[in-house]
Amino acid sequence: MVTRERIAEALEHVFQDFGDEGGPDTFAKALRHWTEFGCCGHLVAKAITHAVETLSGRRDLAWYYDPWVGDDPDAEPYLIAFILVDARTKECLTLDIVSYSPHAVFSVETMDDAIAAVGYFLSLLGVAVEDNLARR
Amino acid sequence: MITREQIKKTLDEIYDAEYGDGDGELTLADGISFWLQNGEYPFDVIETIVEAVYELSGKPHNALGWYAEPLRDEWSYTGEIAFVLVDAESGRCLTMHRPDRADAEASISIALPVTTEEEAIDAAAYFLRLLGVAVEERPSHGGDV
Repeated sequence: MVTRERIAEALEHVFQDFGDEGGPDTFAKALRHWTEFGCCGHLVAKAITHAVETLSGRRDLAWYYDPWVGDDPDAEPYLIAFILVDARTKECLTLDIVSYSPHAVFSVETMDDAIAAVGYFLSLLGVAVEDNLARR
Repeated sequence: MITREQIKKTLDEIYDAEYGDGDGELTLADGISFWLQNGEYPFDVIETIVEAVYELSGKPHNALGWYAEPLRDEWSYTGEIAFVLVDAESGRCLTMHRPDRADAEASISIALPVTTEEEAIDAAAYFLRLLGVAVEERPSHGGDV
């Protein structure tokens, strides 16, 4: 069972592998840059995907992510669209069978939001996660 | 075999019907120029390409899942649009590909330039071929000096 604490640790740990030189040096700081200035959304998204890969042990996943940034960061919710594909089968795991949209959108403003996003993707991959983390 | 002329006609008809008066005066080329000059989100350009693919492939709207993102550099749109196309019935991502480098990660999007109507035709033709539709090749410019 993957706990919230393990996800939080994984987010910080994976961030160290690709944090920008001269940019935020922790995931928590990248999250603050994203919500305060509307930048670094791609770093937040990348950390979420890497945490999912680390905690699931899967290296055969393909991702697309798109932080939605408006002209006025203060007026925007901090949404990130993710598409997750199993690279072996090419199956799109985030496909919504009602709307036919291939993407899942998350509001990622806080560490809890980021943990919830990781938990959702882990549950999609069949990984047992702590209660309340498997829902969007 | 679908010709490039057919694709152009379909793109222009859809664009004019949705965003013009339906009198044939407005073309997708106008929409692309407007996008590149004014820098507003090119929803109309994306929607027109997607609708043309539905129309020319004969696929119903519940057969395909799309995601599109106009790419930007630091200051403005680059003129490229990243697309993800999923077959909704099988759930398979049709745009997934592996770059040439052996160690490169699989990519699920394809970025296509859409700065002219010819490139928009190329984009629609690319998706039609992914769906198994035979499409005329773009004429070569060979011999330019």
